[in-house]
Amino acid sequence: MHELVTDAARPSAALSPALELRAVSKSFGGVHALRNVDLELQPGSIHALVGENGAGKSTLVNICTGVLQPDQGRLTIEGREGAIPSPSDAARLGIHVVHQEAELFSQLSLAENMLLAEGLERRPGIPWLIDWNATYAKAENVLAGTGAAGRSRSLAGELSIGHRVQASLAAAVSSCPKVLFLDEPTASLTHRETARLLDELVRLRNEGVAIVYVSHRLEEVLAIADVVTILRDGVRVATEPAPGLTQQDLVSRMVGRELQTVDRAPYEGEPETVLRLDRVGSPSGTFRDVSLELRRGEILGLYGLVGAGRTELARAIFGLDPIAGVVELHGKPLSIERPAQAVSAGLAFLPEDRLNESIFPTHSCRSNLTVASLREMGPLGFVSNQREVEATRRTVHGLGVRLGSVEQPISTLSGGNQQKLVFGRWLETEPEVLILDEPTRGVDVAAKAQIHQLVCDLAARGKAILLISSELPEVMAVSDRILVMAEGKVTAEIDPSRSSEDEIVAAALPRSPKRDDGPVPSAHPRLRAILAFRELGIGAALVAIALLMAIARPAEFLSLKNGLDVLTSASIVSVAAIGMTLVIITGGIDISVGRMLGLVGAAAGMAAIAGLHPALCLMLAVAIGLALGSANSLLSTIGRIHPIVVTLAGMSVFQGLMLLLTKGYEVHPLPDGYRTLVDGRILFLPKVLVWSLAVLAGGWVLLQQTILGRRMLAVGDSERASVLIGLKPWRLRLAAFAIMGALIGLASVMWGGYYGKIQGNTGAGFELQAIAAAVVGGCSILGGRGTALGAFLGAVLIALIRNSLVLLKINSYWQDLFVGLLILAAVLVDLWLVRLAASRCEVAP
Amino acid sequence: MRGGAVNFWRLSRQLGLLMVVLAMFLAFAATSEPFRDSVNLLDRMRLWTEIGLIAIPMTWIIATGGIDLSVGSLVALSSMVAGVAYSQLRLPFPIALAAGVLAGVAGGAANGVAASVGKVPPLVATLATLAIYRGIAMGLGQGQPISGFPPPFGEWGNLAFVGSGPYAIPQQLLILLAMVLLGEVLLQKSRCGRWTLLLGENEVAARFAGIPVASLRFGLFVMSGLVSGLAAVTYMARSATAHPAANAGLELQAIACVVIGGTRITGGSGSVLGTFLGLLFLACLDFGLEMNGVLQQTQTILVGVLVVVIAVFNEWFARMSERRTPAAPLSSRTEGAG
Repeated sequence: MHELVTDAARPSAALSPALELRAVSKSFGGVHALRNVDLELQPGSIHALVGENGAGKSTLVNICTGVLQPDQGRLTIEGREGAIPSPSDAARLGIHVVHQEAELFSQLSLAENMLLAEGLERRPGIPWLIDWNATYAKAENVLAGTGAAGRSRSLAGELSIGHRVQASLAAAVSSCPKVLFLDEPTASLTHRETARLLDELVRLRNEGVAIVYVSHRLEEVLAIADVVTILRDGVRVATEPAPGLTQQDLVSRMVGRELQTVDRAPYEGEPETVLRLDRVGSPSGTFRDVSLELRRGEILGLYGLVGAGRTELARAIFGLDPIAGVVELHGKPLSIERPAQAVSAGLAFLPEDRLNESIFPTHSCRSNLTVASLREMGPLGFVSNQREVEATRRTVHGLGVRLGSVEQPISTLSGGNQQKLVFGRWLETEPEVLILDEPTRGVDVAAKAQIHQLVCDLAARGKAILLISSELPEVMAVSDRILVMAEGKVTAEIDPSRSSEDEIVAAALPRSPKRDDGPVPSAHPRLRAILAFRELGIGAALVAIALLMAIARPAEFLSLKNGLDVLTSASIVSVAAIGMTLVIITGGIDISVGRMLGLVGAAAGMAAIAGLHPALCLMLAVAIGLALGSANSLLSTIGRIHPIVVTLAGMSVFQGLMLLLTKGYEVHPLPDGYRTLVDGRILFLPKVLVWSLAVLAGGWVLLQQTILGRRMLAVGDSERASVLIGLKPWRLRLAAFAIMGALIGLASVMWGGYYGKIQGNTGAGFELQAIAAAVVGGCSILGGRGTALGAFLGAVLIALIRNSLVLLKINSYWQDLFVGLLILAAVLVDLWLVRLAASRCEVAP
Repeated sequence: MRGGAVNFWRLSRQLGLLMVVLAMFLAFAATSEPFRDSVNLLDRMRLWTEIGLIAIPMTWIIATGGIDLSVGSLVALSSMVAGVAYSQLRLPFPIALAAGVLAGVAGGAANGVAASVGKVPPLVATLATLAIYRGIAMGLGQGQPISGFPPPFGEWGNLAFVGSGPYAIPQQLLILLAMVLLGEVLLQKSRCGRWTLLLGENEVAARFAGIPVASLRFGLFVMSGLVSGLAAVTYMARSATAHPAANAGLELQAIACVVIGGTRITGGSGSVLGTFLGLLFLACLDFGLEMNGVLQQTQTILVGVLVVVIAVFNEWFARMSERRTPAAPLSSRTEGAG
């Protein structure tokens, strides 16, 4: 491979590079993402990094910012050889990065998103507590002058993408970077936002920052870059000064050669209209007023910038999203609510994101091919292996797929071969209309040309094809007609043989000034309010039930004793529920806590009976719990098995250990000294309640006021984003499991002290109570959201319902029914609230 | 590259488990007189019928990435509905049994609605219905068991064999075996089975490929409910009672069978035969250790430890079989949507 390395055309090139990579290689599972790449970043220079998807740009950025470690090669930082072991080390070395729009913790505040990695302000004197006022003040200071000024307390999910990128850039700039990476920063920005961003970059460059600008937008690259490095298939193709380069130069080097012209045989049949859309729109407004006709044998190109609404239109036609307006197939109105209906109506949809939306990676090529046409693969709902293999062979030969065996996992094929198989999948359904969304994204050059030829051949055979593409040369070369979309509307219809590229690009640019000049709407304006409603909601439910009971059973219900009874019976569960909330927040779950409580309670109780000081017994219990919780987490991390499997086994182990320890006898009677740890009152409050209030306070401080707690929330919110800022998910999970274990230790002492004995079945089913209280308290089972107060209130609500049933003289046997209904109601309300928040999501500009 | 490597690892995992079960069987047979007695052994196996039945649809549901925690409660509910229908409503016995099975189907359908229409994560949805069904079962019977079923029913549950002599096989075990084969053949060879495995591998891609995701989920939970109803029948026949508190924790044993059998808890792969091997493993371990005089508590610990060890091995084997792939999730992480 020839290399065109030239000195960076900068007057200041004599300075030593801010960051230099020599012969860096990186591979994933045997596939090279980078091979022998050199990169030299000069201070005061904007270095653009371009290449197709899969060319290795993001891997390169991740290596420079400490997210990934190179397999081979050297890094030199300001002339000194070294390594960047983690993102926080990168930050310390002055290397900062502005990630793509999606990398954020949507349920944390903007200030936290900016500062979580390093910069949260700590309280003077108590360094493990966050000083929120100072943190917000610091964030506001950084945000001053950007569009997001004054929004540091908003949840990141409430902000528009433009504001998030500006905030992220502002945060990076505020830490005085030496090297600044920007990974596709303008992908979702408006024109004006983009212009502002580029101005800011030029200013930074003039201040001497080395900037790496990763983008697909070649016009921007040529406008601001000083040097351009082109990557292809993990190899550096060239590094050249930007002045003098043209877009055509870049494209031809990115793809390896000029796009070949395709052989276009004409379609001989009747060009009747197959698909007709008449003023269709989406309820959320991502596309509006779109009308088009698609004829047999025609390739209709749909061009536009990212966010123009093309993919959204395609998804809606295919039944993945709602659509309003008239959709007709062969003149008959078509109502498609599910993709399955679209498939049987003769539609096929090749989605843009192959890895996430098309392939089943570990499944065979055979089953990846036949998934959409299984009805044709055998009688009576069965799948005939022979027919599948025949179909796969047909595709392999027909489309020129290169594979070793039809049984090999599809992920072992190259991108182009994967894409051909996905093409084959849809051809097997014998569709009349094919919607192709970026069909050549992330495939190599040869495969690209073959796919273009295939599209043309399909048209010649009478298929109607809607080709969505952001690559102008592709659309120009293949389409019969081109519709251009911008901001959700069709802005032009163009005949590619008579029009220039400029006309098409002009039509694709957003033009409505109000989007740029007016206040940019936030994404989820009321997210925070809606989520806060969660705890208020539980409170309201508590009050409502209490009111009803006060009316129905005033005498029994409205006594201090009854009130304390409810709180007391909630106490032990609430302690466990707060621990469980921590675990679920980080994305785990522990179903062994019940048996753990029995085991720890028995051990501590026996120690007390043997005469150990009660306080030492308590410490022993907490220590054992902590050890068991940590063991669960470590086993899950090291063995790479889901926590539910580990703790399912843990249940059994803990129960056996407990029976072994107690030889099957009750641990009874527990000494009075031990029992007084939790039995009795402080003032008028039962001690168990005091303990649980103390845990509530501790849990609140942990989750709201400490960096550890906020990071636990971050990991559950987005593990991917947390890795990018240098957090270690396994450590945070370990911490959550360990704290939960310690709390179970405390709960076991509370249990022993309160009930006076530990039996063989103590703790059976307790795990479900703890999970139920956490879930009722608004903890999302998917991670990232939950509060200590919620868990406590959840436990109280369950206890109140049990208490009310008793007072209402409803047979106790029905109790579980009401508790179950409560869990279901709580989750449904929660889902409804989240959907409500999402439905207010404004369209990204 | 040949695809044979994958089959080699997958096959060797299953064969490995079979070898482990066989080795354990031989070891116990060598050390324990009563274990060698096929009558004892088969009679003991009877106790595992319900877990085995439940574990079949559980394999399917876990293969989609879901879980069903409510099955133990649902078995109790089905048996109580049948018991109440027979002893209090005085319905003819077969109709009472059918009512019990229908209650199972209805319970499964409710789970399915919550998971597919309500979009509640299956773990939470079935945790809630675990409590709900148990509550209804307890409430229906006021906490008391119901017995007094027609004698032939109990005889079928305990004394009905196919064949005679030392190898007379209890009828429920044959039913279980038939269901296992049916479950496995459908999972590997039918359209719904294929859809199930693909759904667990990549839900988004499944939707894009036109797999009817919501109906499939719903259908699987209904099947789970139906099988719970059938398990209630074999349970009542075996124990001659309908007990509202019985079969708690059944779901966890079924899940253990599934995990041991090599079905990934996160979905995408699954084998009912593997699950059945898992059942044999647990049953053999349980009986063998007991016959060798191992304390109950030591047994419990051993089962837990072995579940983890086997789960770790299964995961390792699965990773080996995908080792030479470019690790799609990883490369998507590094290359993103850029």
